[in-house]
Amino acid sequence: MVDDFLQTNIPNVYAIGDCAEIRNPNFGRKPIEAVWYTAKMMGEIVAKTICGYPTAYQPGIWYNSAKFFELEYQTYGSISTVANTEIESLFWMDESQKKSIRIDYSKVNQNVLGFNLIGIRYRQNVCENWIKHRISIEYVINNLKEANFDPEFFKKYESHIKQLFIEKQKNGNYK
Amino acid sequence: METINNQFQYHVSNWKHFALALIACSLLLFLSAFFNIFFFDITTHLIVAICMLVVSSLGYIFIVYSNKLDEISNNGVFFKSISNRGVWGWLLGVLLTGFYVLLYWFPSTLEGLIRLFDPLSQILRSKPSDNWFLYGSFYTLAVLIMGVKFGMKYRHNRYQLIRTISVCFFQLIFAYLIPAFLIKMNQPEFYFTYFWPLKKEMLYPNDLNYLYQSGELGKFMVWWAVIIALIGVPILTYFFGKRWYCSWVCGCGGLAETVGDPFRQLSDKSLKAWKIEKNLIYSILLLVVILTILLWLNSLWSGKVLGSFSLVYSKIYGFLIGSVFSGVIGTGFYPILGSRVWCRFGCPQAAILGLLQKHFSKFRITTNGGQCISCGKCSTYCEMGIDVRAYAQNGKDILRASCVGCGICSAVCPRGVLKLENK
Repeated sequence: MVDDFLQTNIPNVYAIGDCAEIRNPNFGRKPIEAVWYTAKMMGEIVAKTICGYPTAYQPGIWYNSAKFFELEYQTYGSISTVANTEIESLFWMDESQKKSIRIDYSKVNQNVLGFNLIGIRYRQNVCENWIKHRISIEYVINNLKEANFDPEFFKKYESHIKQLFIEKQKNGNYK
Repeated sequence: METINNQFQYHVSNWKHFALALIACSLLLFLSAFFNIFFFDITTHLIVAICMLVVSSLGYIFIVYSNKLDEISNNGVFFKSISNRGVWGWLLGVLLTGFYVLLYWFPSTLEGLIRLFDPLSQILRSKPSDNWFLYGSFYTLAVLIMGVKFGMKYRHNRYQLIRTISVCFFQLIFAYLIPAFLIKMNQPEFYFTYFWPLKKEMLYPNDLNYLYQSGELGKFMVWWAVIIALIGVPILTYFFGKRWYCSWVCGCGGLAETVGDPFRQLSDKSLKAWKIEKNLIYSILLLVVILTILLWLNSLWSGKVLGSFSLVYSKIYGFLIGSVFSGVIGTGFYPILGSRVWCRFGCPQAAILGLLQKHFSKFRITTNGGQCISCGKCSTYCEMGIDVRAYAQNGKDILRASCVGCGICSAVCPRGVLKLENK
């Protein structure tokens, strides 16, 4: 168990990585995060503290990425894994079924909560900003290309996604 | 017993065997021409050799790439003899270097092959073939065939596909067919896609004068040479970085990206290599600038002050830099030193474009640094030996004079961390 500075109950003893459970995790983060980048971030924080610049562990919004065979996966923020009455989910997939985007947003406040991306690359800082500042789904849909990080000449999908969103708004559901 | 070394043996099918056999046959036809043995009349021999080579290599390429996953596969690149300085790599290096040496300094030994291309030369240029036509024909054929291979390997990346088509187009049309056609029309043999200082003669007083005197088209060529070198280059590099030329137009770049693709991981990534690179490339730029100024001074002062010094200097530069460095080492050493040795360590054009890119351009490679898992594929496959990973890990933009904007780092990155942008 560690505090915000990753210190255990024993002074000058720190714990980072898979074995560290944070007593008061930041909003949107979990007490235990045994993924590839958290240990590195924690290590940098503790190094600063040990060198005389006490620094609290403040990871940004949750994110992750992976690759399965040829499919690249990225996620930013939080995507619900079970049906939730307070969260709306917009899901778009292309014809090849190898690219998809899921955007979760709050039903009540309409602010975006998270992104799941397969086969499409997004900019972390843009997604993080949108989520942190509780930007509305409407704004995000209209400015989606700000987040796109695909190489030049790659097909663009923003207009398709906007179409889908408009249909969803109209019908309450799509298809 | 399966060791790491032989788990990458090819699964050879009958069709693959057949394609390889045909490739071997076509190469034998070229070899026999080298020894002045022609199995048919020259025209038929040439047609059969080229068609067989094209069909069999395209067939082989399609067989190899048809059932691969929709991603870039570099499996076994450090185990295969050809791509990791093994026996086949060295053999190929010796063969290529040997060919260049013969081509530049002992062209009479290539007489058989040169005569083999007479029919094609007559069609395209209305004159007999020579060692430079042989070179251009092999060069263009290599870029086109390996361009198809490259396209198949990177077929799911549109930037790579379009860039490769561009490079094949400029090589075939502007660096092969148009110059040949100009010769056929009794006009000066002019390469619109090369300019000073890469083709240093384009701003030499005697050459410009000759072009200007040769007619209306010649006058246009002089204007083209001056405007593109002094105005076109800075403007295009401002908007797009050095990549508009080095990765999309230049023939040296075209060969490096197509034929040189299997060897890009051999580029030296050390800091020492970077230091040598900077010293060498800017020295050569200085040499060619001095050379050009000397020739203009000599011309202005009618040879009174400098005499034949500028001509001697020009000959030495032409031999050492133009032939040995650019040709023999630049291409012959692909399988040993990687594909961009000339571009990185010697090309004065690259030096100028690099300075413009670093200080006066909108181009950079931006990074989505948080997602970098430090796998190092970007640095491994960077043909210019840039440590891309270091920039990606720190979330910094890559703005380097040597970056040719090939886009391979972005293409092979498994987490989508890199993007080539004109910001």
